[in-house]
Amino acid sequence: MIEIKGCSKTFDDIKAVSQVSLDIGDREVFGLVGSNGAGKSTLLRMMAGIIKPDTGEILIDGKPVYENEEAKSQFFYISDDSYFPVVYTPNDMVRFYRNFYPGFQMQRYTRLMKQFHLDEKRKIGTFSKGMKKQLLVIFGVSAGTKYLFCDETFDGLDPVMRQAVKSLFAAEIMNREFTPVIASHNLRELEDVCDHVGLLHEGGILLSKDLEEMKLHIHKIQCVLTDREREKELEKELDILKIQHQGSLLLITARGTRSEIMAKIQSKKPLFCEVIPLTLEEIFISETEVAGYEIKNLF
Amino acid sequence: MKSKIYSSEYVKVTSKGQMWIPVFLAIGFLMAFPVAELLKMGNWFGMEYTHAQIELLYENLWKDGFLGTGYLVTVIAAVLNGISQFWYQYSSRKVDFYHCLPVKRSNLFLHKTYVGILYYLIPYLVMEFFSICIGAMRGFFSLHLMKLALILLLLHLVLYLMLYFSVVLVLCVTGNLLMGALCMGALALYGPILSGIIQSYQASFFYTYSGNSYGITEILENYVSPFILGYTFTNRYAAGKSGKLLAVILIVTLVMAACSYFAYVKRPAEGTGKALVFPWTEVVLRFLVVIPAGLGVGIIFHLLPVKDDNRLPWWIFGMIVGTFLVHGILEVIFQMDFRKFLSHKLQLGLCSVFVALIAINYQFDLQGYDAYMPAQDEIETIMSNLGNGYENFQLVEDKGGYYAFNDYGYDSKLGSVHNVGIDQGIYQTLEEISRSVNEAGKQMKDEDTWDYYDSYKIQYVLKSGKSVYRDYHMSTEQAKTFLTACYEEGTLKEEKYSSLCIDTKFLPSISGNFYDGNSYTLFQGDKNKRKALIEAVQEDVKEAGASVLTGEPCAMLNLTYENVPERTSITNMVPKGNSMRYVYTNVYVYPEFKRTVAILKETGYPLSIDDVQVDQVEIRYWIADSYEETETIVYSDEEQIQELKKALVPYGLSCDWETYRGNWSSLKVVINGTNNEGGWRLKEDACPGFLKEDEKRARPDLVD
Repeated sequence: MIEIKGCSKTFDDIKAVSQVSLDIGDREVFGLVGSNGAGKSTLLRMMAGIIKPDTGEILIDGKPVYENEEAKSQFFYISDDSYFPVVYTPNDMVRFYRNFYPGFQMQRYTRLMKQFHLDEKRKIGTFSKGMKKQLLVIFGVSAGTKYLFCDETFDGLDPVMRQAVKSLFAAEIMNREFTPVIASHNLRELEDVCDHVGLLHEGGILLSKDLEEMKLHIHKIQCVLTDREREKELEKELDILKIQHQGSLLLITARGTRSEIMAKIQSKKPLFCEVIPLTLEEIFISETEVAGYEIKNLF
Repeated sequence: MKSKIYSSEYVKVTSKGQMWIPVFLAIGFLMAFPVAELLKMGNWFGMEYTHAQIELLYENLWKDGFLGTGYLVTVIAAVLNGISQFWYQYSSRKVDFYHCLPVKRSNLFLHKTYVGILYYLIPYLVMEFFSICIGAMRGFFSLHLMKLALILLLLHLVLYLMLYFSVVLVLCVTGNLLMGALCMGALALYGPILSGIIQSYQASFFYTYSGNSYGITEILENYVSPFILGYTFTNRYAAGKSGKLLAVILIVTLVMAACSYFAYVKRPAEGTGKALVFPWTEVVLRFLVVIPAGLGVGIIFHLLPVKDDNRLPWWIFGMIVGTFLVHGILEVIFQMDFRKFLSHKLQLGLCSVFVALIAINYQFDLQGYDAYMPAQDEIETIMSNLGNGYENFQLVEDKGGYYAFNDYGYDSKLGSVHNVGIDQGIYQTLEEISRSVNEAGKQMKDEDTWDYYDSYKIQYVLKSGKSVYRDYHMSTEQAKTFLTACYEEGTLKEEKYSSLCIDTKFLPSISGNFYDGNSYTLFQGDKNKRKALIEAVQEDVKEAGASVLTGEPCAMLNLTYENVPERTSITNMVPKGNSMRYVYTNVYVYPEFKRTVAILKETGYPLSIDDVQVDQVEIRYWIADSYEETETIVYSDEEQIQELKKALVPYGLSCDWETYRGNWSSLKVVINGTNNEGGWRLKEDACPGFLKEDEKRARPDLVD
């Protein structure tokens, strides 16, 4: 478990992270979202023990992370702008990492390299940005660490590879104790992979909630009503966040349990009615408004 | 969990892409050791040194020669290794890469240092081993040589570590390339530049500044920069005076190691890209740079005007501009923002106050530089370049047919010097001279007569082993008084005439300068006479007091001893045998040297101007301000000649302690109908009035 307790970090006059407290449970995919400059990377760099918080502390499995070999051996950090020594091949990198991560799984690495069609003996300097990201994910997964910190890792991956990485994470979580922490400014990248999401804004944490729990309180329904009057009645009865018209089709995003919402809609005798999946953005619209923010001001 | 960063596997993988460094250093050490050795040995064998001599030279090569050549490669190695291992700190990406790894920074620091030492030592050891093998193949191999090789290795390693940690410290406290390069330059040159600024101020504002660096300026020049400290050490080691310096180097190495370690461990990752990683270092650097820069720019402006009157305002202007500009430029570099040019005004104000205080100190000599003289009981001896003569040695002993020379020229910063000793008389004379220079200095400079005074350098050698240097502008009278005091003390007399004890068998001929302005070879082919002459001089010198030795000479003997056997040492070794030395000295003969004069009279050469038939004296005076046109006046009247003879002195018999007149283009003397080729001078106090009138007529601008 990763515990972030009241962490703040200021760069000159700029408060990058302010009093962030967060718990990241084991075996869940944690999404750290926020706009550019929200403090995601700074928080991740603090979690990775690269920079020291001005105040507060970060514990990984109960141990402070800064300058602690034991705590740091529990995670693998993939930075947004990763560095590889110019002349290194993937195999060289493995030889390098094996000195730091004794649990590095060679067989897994070899298999994943094949799966991702990456050449182990080619100089990494010649790899494309996306290939480097894939390579880092492979290193991160093969390192055998409990945690994997990914800073904008999906940025630069094509949709197929993105899906492959997501599947890889899912498989890892199934097979062993594995907790990826993924920072991204793009909600859509995280919506189908995260279990838990923390939203950062201007250095502070706005909310940190379980995605399923959030989904219980907000739903999106598409229906066709017989007349305009019933629609108006429904608008009054439901706690509607958003309502859209696509021809005769009505798209309603509303707060409340699924049964309550469905009961109220069914009472209006719709010609057609079904619940459709919500995007993460839509969930955030709900949650951030509760917190008193306009989502459009955040993203 | 312990990482395996000291494992050979890790060193191997991290060395990928960096192998050029040890390879490059191997080439450097190849040049510094085996190639230099082969060249030297080739020369020694080619010059036909004896085997014993080559043994001595070879041993010295391991003591001294390789230390210098190896130091050059060591400097390169320290810079390359330091940069290659810690350069990554200037890149945020690389910092993230290394500092997220499960390894403590302290361990990472030690590992990088370990790799840096490996890259240095492996090529070093290989090439040193080759050198030993080359020597062994030529028959030079012993446990003593192995010990020297080991000492050489250890010395180079210590120097390497000092430089390496210095480079690492710079890389750890700076956050970007520009600042790193500037600080690296400062690391190498700050001390000498600051010393140069201080010396420029001393030269411009103090009357007794000698041009020699000592005390703080010497420390700044030779010891403040680690690179120059190492160089100074290699020089001192060659001279066998490196004990204390080695201790200093060890301390500096430890301090640099500790500072670089803590700077690395405590370095905040977010400092990358900034000018300086630790904000407090900005304040220190600001004061260390702005104050000397303000003073430095000031002194440049002080030196530019031709007239002294204009110097003060330009100096002040220079200091203001220098302080303000350098402070602003530093702010822009520190904060990487042109708009910050005027920030930290309080510190700018403080720097300005310091600059002003230092400037006032120099302007009014508040530190009492010119008046300063060490207390007499602190002085071991005094060295001076006062007094005629080419000797800058003292013949100290004569053992088993060899002569030993205590050469001052190698250590002294005064040029051709004498040890003049110290006693109450010398001290009081110098005290008086110092006071007079201090009081009259400004007046002399204002009247532009500063250069008319002879400048004599004095080195006060203190009992503490330190030295204080002063340059006194003395009048001829003062110089004579000082010289008299020195002769009365005795050391100068003893040292100046020490070469007379050399066996006359090494003196194949003697020549002398006489009052007709000519030089003659004396007693050619009469060995015994030459010996008698030297013995006479020795006796006369022994009896002569200070008043005699500072009188007017009647002749001068030029003695050139040839092939004087000297004990062989590294500095004087000659091929095929023992070292032989040529000793050249000249000895004034005074009328009071009765024995000597008696022998010289046998030659018939003139020992007084009265013995010379002067027919005419021809003087070409400069006209007005022109140095192109002259007016020639010939003095041939008997009366004029008699008057002029009272003042005429052949150039070879003129002395430092006499004043001569000489505002003319040339002075020719016709003796016995022949134009004398030698130079002549006229004594100031005996110059006839008609000559002064003629001179004034030609040069009305001259002030008498």
